[in-house]
Amino acid sequence: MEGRSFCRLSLSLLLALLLALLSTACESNGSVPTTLMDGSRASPPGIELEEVPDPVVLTKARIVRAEAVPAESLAAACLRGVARAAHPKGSIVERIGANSETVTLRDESGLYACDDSPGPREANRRWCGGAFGQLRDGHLRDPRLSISCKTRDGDLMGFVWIAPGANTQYVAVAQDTFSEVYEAAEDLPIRVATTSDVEIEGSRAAFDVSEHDVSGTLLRRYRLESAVAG
Amino acid sequence: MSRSAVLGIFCLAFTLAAAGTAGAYHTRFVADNCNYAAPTPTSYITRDGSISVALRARYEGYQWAGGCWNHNDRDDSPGDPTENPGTGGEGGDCSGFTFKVWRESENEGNAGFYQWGMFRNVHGPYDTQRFKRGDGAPNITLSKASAIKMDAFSSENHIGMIYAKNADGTDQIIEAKGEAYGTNIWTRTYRGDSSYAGVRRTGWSS
Repeated sequence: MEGRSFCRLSLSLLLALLLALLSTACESNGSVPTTLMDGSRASPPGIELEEVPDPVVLTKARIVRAEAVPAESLAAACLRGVARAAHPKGSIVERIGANSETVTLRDESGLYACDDSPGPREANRRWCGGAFGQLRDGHLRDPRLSISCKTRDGDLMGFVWIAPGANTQYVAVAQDTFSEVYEAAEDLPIRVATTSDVEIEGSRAAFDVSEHDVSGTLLRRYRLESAVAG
Repeated sequence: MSRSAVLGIFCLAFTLAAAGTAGAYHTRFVADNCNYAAPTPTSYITRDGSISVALRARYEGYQWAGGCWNHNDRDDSPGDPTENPGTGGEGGDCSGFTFKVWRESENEGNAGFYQWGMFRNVHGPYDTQRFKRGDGAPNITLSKASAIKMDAFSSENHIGMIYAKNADGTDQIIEAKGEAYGTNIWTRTYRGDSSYAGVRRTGWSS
């Protein structure tokens, strides 16, 4: 009896230990993205951002000139899709995050964004969302929230533009289990995404944002409350 | 205390109060009048019925990301700072007004009809760019030549619904035009404007 009980106890402990190890392994891979949406490796920025908790994922940004858009680029796909009415000038910024791809471009009428995610979309369109924002004295007055994109699991995502401050080099947006960081580029507002705090009722989303200078020093922290409008 | 000192204190207090107010502008219209009640599903909406719904918002103002309104034929929160959803004023913006008149669901996959009360503060998930693309189960694009009463014309940054077609090819459009204009009916040339596309709400009973 004692021998069988000891065996049962040992097996139970072994099973519990194995389950705990597996759980930890899955959690560390499932909660922190290991790749960006294009399949490239997700990695933190090269500097520490003040008061941004780990883990941190740096998004990619690529600049494309409007007069020389590569045919197979995200920018080209955006101009064939959501931004087909645009006549872009200057620089176009492509961004790739853990769960998002965006393009931001400007023409004389305003700003255009194309938004994409890994999730399902209406009519199998190339872009699950987008935005247009008029500029008043060269500035956006509204962040132009879009909530038409979804995660792989079908949860709503929110996309907005953030206009970084003059000295801002990095913008960090808190996600559920990590912080996603965007680098400022070409004086264009930064299109950022969230998979949390998106409400279908009210058509709203909230973003917890911090802005940092080139050395990572915290410049400002705020909660951006946005609503679908216009 | 001398009279000049009192005056100085008064001026200082007034200045401080005005400065605080300017930085925190809002009206109380939404807070005092509007609700978040569930809509009433309905299986029957007509174009004429929707015109009646739209006309209740006529003269009632404009609110970015709005909204809700009463039916007293006046803008109860005029002159709000533009493109600010936090001002809490009366009216809808152009896409919110269209969403509510077209009795749509906040769930984009649902093409059913939902009666929203006048005082129900709701905008819906579509902005003008999305209406222009015919996004969402209830919305489709159509040729502008085919557009009739209670169809809409939408550009990248504005949408208005057809109230009536004029003999000269223009249309009377009922629209939430902007803070300076409110919600009203105007004669427009959107039908012939290449920046506008035709949009239709599906499922009208008549």
